[in-house]
Amino acid sequence: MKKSFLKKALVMAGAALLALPLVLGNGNLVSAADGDGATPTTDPVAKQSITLVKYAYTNKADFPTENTSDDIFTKSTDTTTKRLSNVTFNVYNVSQQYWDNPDHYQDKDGQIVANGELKEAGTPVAMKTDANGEATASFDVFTKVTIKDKEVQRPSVYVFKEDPLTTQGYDKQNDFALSLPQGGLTDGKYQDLYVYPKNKSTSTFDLKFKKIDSITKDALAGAKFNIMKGNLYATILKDGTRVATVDQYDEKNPVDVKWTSDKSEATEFISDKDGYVGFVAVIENTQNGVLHGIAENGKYTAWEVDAPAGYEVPAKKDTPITEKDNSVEIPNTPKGLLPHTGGAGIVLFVVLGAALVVLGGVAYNKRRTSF
Amino acid sequence: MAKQKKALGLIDIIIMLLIIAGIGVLAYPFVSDAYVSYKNQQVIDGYQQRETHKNQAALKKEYQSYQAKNQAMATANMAPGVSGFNAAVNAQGTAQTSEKRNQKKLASQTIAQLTIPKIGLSLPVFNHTTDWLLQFGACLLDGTSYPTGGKSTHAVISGHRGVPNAELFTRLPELKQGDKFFIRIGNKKLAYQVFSRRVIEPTEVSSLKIKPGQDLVTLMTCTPYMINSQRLLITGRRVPYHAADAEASKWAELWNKLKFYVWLVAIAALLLLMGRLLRGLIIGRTRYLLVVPSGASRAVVRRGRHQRTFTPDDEGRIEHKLPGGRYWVTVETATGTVRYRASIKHLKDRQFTLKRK
Repeated sequence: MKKSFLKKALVMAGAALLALPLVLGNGNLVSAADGDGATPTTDPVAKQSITLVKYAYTNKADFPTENTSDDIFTKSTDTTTKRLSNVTFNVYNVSQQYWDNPDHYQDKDGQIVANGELKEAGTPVAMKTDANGEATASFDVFTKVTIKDKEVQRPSVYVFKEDPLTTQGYDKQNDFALSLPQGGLTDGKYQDLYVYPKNKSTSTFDLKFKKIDSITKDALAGAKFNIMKGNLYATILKDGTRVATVDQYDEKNPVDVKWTSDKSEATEFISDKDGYVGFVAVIENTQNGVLHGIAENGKYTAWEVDAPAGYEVPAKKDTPITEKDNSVEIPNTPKGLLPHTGGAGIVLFVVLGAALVVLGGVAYNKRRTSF
Repeated sequence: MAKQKKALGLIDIIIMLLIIAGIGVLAYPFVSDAYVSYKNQQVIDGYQQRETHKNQAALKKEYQSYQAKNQAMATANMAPGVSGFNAAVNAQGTAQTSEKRNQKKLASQTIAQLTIPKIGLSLPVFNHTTDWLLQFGACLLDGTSYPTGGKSTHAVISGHRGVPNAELFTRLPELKQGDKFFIRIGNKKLAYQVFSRRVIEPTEVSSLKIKPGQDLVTLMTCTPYMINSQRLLITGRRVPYHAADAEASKWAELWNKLKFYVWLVAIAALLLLMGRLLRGLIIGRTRYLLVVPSGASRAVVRRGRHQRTFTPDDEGRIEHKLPGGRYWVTVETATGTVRYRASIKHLKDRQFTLKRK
């Protein structure tokens, strides 16, 4: 079923497609529908740079801005929204297929429909987002296509397909199409383009373990932990600011977790009344070069800072935990267990007894001296 | 006729009570200890008899069950002194349990006998530690090995020190390096020689853990005396049991039985003393006639710092009524001075008996 690109963008918060009107090199807005008849300025060596900035979000509230506010010609100054690194996009040049029958690939608003209709063709250009969630590549603005057995230069049409294997834990990103050129020439060069595909995270991961009494196996509240990934400390953020202590394992509400090397930034996790320690977060991602989230199958360390009152802090403070295994139990040995095996001594008895006897004896004698 | 005086006045009664109470308080720790020791010895005898009557198979089975538990403990690296321990022993530990001694219950919980001849100690070892049990004997600290001996065992036996009702581990600090103590469990007799004495904080349970491969028994009590803020650990290593050890143990056991009889005799003596005191008080309240032998020109009567001089009456006699008791009477006659000791021979006497000195 064909679906309007715009509708899709509005309906599916997760799949952000960018369908843009074809803009010819001279700045005249020309509908792709007239493509065949038009005589575009063709420059076989012209290139236009496209930068993909891959955003991720966990729910709509985190991401109030829809696509519409994104400006394709300016680089976003938003540095707080989560970005995903290591996401691969395969970019296919589908110009031939498009120009074979331009009408077919447009909806009634004249937008190019990418999904399913424009097939992968040729060797794709792979774009892989870096640590900042960005990937940049240059593309030919015009492509030589054969129309009615005649080779002509036509504005290029590209389809961007996200590799779902690189975005596990997120909704699948719909394919999107982009036709070049966009915008006019500045000093004989096409402007750089910025595209902001977004992914909604579908799955969350949790780190969870339990603090117990080593003898009774009862859950213990009040044990204090840091959670570490390697030598990085977990810092829970709420509205972007650090949460100093987390004293309740909350499996319902995913939190934003940042991994920092600064120990003073670390959040202190306190075992709750059921003995549980941990948190739920989205999949590992990078924001501004800082690691966030929890990696699937990731290996972490629970570092015991303090034991519950009346229990010994174990000699071995670190316990390995994993995202996968939530059954780890960390025991504490109760302390102060040696019995109180002492009394006040018999001194009191001896002193009191002797005093009474002496008193009695003196009185006894005293009574019998005068006559 | 003058009103008949009561045999004892209020002050006499108070004096009597003071002395009785004083002696009672003074003797209580010792008599109570003797009683506890005596009853404990009965528990031990009962235990020994029970164990001897068991056949070899039963004994072996019991011993093996202890050993199995020990092995499990060694593998689990169990923390000593736990398992509902805190509930059974209050923090101040002054044995404030109202429950009375119950020989049957004690006997059923006895798993061994601890003998320390050096301090004349012979106590039953109970299978776990509670405030109630601690009043009567030594208790195996929960979470430590049964004192079966054998590699990788470490039994910790705790006992009270400085409680008024029994001596128990009060003299434990007298044990020095090289001294021995003995444990009898089932039909086995084990000897341990002290090699380590340490004072630890009550929280340092880790020092009571099993040491792999070693056969240890630690005796534990509170220290310092009367303050009890720390724990004294006296640890012995297993050594061979000799015939001389059996002999020494026997004496310790005997002493624990004898103590009670010694105190029975002492109590009898005390009662006798009380009787004497009572008699003295009654005599002191009664007036008796002092009759100085005739021919005296003067008699000086002295008791303590007080003295009175009597001269003959018109008939040449010196006769005076004095409170009962002992007096020195110096009688001056024409021929010289004679000293007498005046005292009351019998309560019913009318007059003093004079004895020439």
